Amino acid sequence: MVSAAMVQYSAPATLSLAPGDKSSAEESPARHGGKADTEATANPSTDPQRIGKKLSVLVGQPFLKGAFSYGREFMFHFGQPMPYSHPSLAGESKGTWILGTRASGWQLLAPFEGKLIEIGWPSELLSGATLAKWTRREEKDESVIEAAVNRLLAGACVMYVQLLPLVFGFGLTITFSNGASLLLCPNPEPDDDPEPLADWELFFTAQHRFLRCGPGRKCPYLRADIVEDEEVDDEEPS
Amino acid sequence: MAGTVQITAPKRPKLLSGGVCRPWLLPLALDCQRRENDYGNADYRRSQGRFVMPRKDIKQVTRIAREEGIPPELRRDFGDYLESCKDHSDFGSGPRGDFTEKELCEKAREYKEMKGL
Repeated sequence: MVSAAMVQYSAPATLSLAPGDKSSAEESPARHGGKADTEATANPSTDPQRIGKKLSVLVGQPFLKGAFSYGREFMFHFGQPMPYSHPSLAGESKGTWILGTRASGWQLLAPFEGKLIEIGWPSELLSGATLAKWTRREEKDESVIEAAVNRLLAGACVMYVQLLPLVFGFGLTITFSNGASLLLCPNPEPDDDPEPLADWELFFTAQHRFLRCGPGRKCPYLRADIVEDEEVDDEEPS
Repeated sequence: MAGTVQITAPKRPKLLSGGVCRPWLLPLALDCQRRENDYGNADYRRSQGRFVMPRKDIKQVTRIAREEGIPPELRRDFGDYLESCKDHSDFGSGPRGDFTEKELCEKAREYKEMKGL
């Protein structure tokens, strides 16, 4: 069941997203210290700096659309519209880059409207005193959530992308030109399945590649046009 | 200040990875700490009325696509195709119009046929 909470708050200034901060994807994640960096060795799929470089292709790209896919996975489409190759989806378009959230929780914060949309994200992460002053509305209608995301991000471009090395995987933040920001946090529940689900995926539609992030702190860059996993080492996706 | 929300951080919080967190990442840092410390048990979380994203349906469609030889980029489109089916009143017999395992296999074959795979 999809449930999104739309929260109204009244002090956007306290959550300002300063574009002057050094937080872009190109920045070395070494300042975060910790285990992730010690793991950043020869393996490109676990190197935050290298993964950040791949993610940096999103910087400057316009937000195209957001939509639910099957299984209540939300997809964020960026870049230019590209047609689907499947006949039944003719007339519809997808983005040059597509961020699939899989089963991760995410928050879209829009300070300019005082709105926060959260999916799969415990609301009590904010203090009770804070929440008490917020207007909270549970929304289960997928089309309403889609419309809200598309409205809040309409016309916005990606300004910064930052990989977040967390204990249980890589999170992601995307800051948009209109001040909105997207935080994506992997589902922390252990996944004991023999074929565990990735935390999130970024498809490079034109290059037929994708970054499959998680579970855990690894993001192999793979071919998306073959069934088997085949890691590729394209330096600069064009 | 009446009517405003203050999110204050007396000390700059630290991410679990050891890095210093910027103020606007405070919720994320706290969230991760709390999840790690208190909310590891899925049933507990559900029993408290909280919501975590379900993995089951996404896993199922991913596995079936793989078994049917659908590569990841088409598997992603396949998810959109299934949603499009539901939008056109072609519902599955599962809850909320979701497709059962058997129906998903049929849909995957239908998708491949239409795609000429």
